[in-house]
Amino acid sequence: MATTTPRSSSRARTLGAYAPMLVLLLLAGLSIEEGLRLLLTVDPAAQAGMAGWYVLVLGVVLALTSAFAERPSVTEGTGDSADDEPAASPSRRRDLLVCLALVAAYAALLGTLGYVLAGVAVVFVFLRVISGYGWVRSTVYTIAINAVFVALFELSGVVLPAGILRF
Amino acid sequence: MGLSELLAGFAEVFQPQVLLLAFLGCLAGTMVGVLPGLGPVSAIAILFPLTAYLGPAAAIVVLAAIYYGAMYGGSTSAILLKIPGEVSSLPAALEGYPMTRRGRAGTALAIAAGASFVAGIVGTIGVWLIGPHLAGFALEFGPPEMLGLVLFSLTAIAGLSSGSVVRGIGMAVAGMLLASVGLDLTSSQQRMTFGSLELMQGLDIVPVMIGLFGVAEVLRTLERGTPVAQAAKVGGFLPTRDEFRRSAGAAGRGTVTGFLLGLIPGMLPSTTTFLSYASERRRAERKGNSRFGQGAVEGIGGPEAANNATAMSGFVPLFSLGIPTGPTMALIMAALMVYGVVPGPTMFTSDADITAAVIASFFVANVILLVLNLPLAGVWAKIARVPYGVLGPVILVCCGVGAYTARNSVFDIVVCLVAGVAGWAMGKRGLPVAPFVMGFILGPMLELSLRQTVAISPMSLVESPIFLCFAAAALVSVWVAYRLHRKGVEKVDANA
Repeated sequence: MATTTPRSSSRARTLGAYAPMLVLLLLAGLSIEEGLRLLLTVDPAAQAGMAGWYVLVLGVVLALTSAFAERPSVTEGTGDSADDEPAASPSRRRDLLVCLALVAAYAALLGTLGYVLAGVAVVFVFLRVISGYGWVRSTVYTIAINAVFVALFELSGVVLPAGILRF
Repeated sequence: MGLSELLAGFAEVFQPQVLLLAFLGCLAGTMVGVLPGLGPVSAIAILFPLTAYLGPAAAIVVLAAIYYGAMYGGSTSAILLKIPGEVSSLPAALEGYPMTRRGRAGTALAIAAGASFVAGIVGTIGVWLIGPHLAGFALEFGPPEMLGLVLFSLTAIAGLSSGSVVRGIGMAVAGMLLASVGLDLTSSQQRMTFGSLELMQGLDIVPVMIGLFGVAEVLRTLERGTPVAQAAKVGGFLPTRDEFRRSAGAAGRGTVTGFLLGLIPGMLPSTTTFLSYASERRRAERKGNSRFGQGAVEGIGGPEAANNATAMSGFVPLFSLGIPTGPTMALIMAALMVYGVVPGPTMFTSDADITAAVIASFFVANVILLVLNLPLAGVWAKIARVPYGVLGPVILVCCGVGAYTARNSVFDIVVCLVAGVAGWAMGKRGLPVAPFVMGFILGPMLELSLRQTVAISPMSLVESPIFLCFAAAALVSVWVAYRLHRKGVEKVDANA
């Protein structure tokens, strides 16, 4: 497996170099398609023509600028690309993924569990998994941080979902 | 807005409750500002939910205090710990930290605070004097003139705040496209929603901004790790007579250039700060007594003044024209709209009482920060040493709550998450964020004025001298940015 690592790393780097251009071209393609849909398929009586032209023109401009300015041959050596940066270590990459999962979990839990329990869950997992604190310290910090949150949000009148605690 | 309105604004601000809010805003802003990696934009993004349920005037006072506090806080951590909270605090770190190592941190802090204070007060007077006149001029604007103004702002920001003009324009267009998601206001047709009910309501600016500047910052910090801050001794605050003379001159020059340049869209505080630093350095080298790199007080006073003056002058186009000059102003603009205040010429007419209170609060916030910062410098240094392991979850929950409170929608937290990933990826790939944010904010304005212009008559464009002036200015800004970029590339090639 060791022999495949450099090749797969170089392939990942190539894909990474093309990623901005591809994402922007995808957005451009979607807007061109949307512009054409509004222009060609919507009843002219709905007066969606201008709405269609707007996204169509923006899509074309985005496609042209992305194809021109985001090619790796253009961005290379400008100092703008992060290719020269050392790659993040696996543990840091794991931290990033856990962090993203925590924001998603917060969105999922906020409505059902309420802001107190959702906050407790997110803060505790962050402290335990990403910050690497022990059980006791994580628990104490979680309680302290969430007590401050509850006090602040209650004092400032921020209305958040109460969830199952009805609080 | 005359003196009587401003005095009425002071009467509003001097009410104990508003004064307390301004104080708490300064305190909270400074606390966030001193933390490594967090600047004014992040501070506003993180603390926004706490202001969402205040009245418009009080909320803007708090927000402005947070903004100011974060700027002061950024230079404190830069000088004491060599950890600039944001790019514009880098000169303070370069020149202030050598003074800290010599046991003269107090003097560096006093010079930074004094320069920021003078620039803040002069900038506030500038907002008070220039804003109403510019707003009066803007009241004459019809759709073609507005279209010209938005076009100029977009091209200026795209050109000046990114390395490549084409890249900047591309990112501005990407922002405009994302702002167009939702129901078309005229035809009620769905646009870029792809059948999603959630996308029909469009993408709100608040979760997008919180994601781009709050969540993305957490991701960046987790990826690169946090610097370990060493304890620093503050020492005495008084500068010598020579240091005072040199820093006062630099602060004066920084204030004037920072304020004037800050009126131009795309001239971010970070840009004017470095322009001031470079100019002061050249000036010292010409005189043959440069101490830059070893603790030159001009390198602290000039850039700090330029930073604050630019931040202040950004309020002139925001309040009088409804045009933000950079991401921070865009976030403040978004917050103003959440509070029910529409930035633009009417801020000096129908909302004059609120605007007067806000301008008065700028004066008060500057005084509070001057009083608050120096005696508490040691405390700020201790706060800056709070480990990111504890700060991270706090910031993350604040971002989630901030995104939710904008429209009481869980979907907005998902938008915030996606914007956070996008912001992190943009930073990693070197894609400029400022034009993207400006495109997102100004896109709907551009579309509305374009459609109104077409509905009146497309010929109104060539019949409007103001539009033609703005169009010419837009072309000039693109050309200037292109020339600057080419010059930069040629210099790099020559050095290679």
